Amino acid sequence: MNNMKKKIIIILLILVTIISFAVIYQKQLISNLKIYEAQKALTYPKPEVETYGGDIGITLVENGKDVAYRNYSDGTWNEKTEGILFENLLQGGEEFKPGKQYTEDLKVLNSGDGPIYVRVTIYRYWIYDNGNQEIDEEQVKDKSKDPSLIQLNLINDNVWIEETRDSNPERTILYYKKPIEVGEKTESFCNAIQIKDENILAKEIEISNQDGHKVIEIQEEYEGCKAVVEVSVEAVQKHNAEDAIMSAWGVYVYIDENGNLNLL
Amino acid sequence: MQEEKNVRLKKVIIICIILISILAIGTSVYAYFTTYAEAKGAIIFPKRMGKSILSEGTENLQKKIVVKVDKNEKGAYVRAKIYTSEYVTYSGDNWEYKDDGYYYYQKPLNPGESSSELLVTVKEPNEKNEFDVIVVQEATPIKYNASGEPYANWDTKYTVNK
Repeated sequence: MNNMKKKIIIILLILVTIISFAVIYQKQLISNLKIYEAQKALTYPKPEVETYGGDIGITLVENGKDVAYRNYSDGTWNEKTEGILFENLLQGGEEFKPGKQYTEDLKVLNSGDGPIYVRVTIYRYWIYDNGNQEIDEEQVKDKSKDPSLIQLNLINDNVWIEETRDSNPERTILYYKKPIEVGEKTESFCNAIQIKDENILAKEIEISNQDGHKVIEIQEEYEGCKAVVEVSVEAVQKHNAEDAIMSAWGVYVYIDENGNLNLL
Repeated sequence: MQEEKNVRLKKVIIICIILISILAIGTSVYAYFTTYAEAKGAIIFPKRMGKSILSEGTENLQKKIVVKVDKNEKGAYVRAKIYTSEYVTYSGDNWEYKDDGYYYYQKPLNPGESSSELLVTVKEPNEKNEFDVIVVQEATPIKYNASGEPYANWDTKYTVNK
């Protein structure tokens, strides 16, 4: 009988040990996989939904208005993760003027219950859609158009560090140097938008005779095209930030004694 | 004997629960709190080329030149160049002559608006009072600087992007 009990105990202990190893191995595998994927692609995929249950939150603020947010509270996510920019760019039926600089103040709010580090990724590209203001997800980028004509005036580069290694004319990645405490906003990372219109070529030049006059008509190559701007803001917990940022964003950082984030 | 067995079994179960709990707490160290939000917006590059219409009239020894921008098109800046072998003088409000030989209308014309008259007056007519005056008129889009002030860029050279 004693032997039987011993056997049961040994079997149970073996089972517990196997389960333990299985759980640890799975966790490490997932963690490593995330790091690998983040490093491999350098495409900065949209962040995964990691619902671990922390009261973390982030809000993108455009000209004083909350345009997108995702906050964890009381076990649920309160979110508006696909906000719309430029809704109040033009006033009273005004038509957009290429060359003019429009106010576009962008900053990040810590709308959660814990301190965070943040980064911002800005994408700029063109879509041809013959003047339709709505953005259709099926529309594709017009890669023949120059994204650098879409100019966001980035400011406060003493606190917003640009990751130049992985930035390009279409994508800009900014890291906020300081941790953001609960309820605090970052300094603005942008204060204006301008569509540059120098060196724009013609799409079509038409020459005709009208009423005895020779008439030349020109259509500009960007006419009817849409300049699209996407802004993605991401937050990671302040606690154990170096590991958290590596795990979530695939980026090595160093947090100094003052809490400032430094890219490695 | 049976009671002792039950106690031992309970102990084993408790030990297992404790071990699993420790594992659960331990592995949670790997989870980090993250969140994100996104916003997107689009701005349409507008049609900017206004269609200008030249109207010419002759009265006595004067040629009257007026440029109008089509009301259904965009606004434009306009200019005109006069080719003639006659001895002529020019006049007209807001028309300014520049060294490149063009007369520039100083104000941008909004859709449907017309320029003031540019008068070309022949000073030394021939015996038949006949004269040849050829007008070339051009328009360029109204452009804007960073402050939103309109200006004309007559140096723009359009070539077709192929």
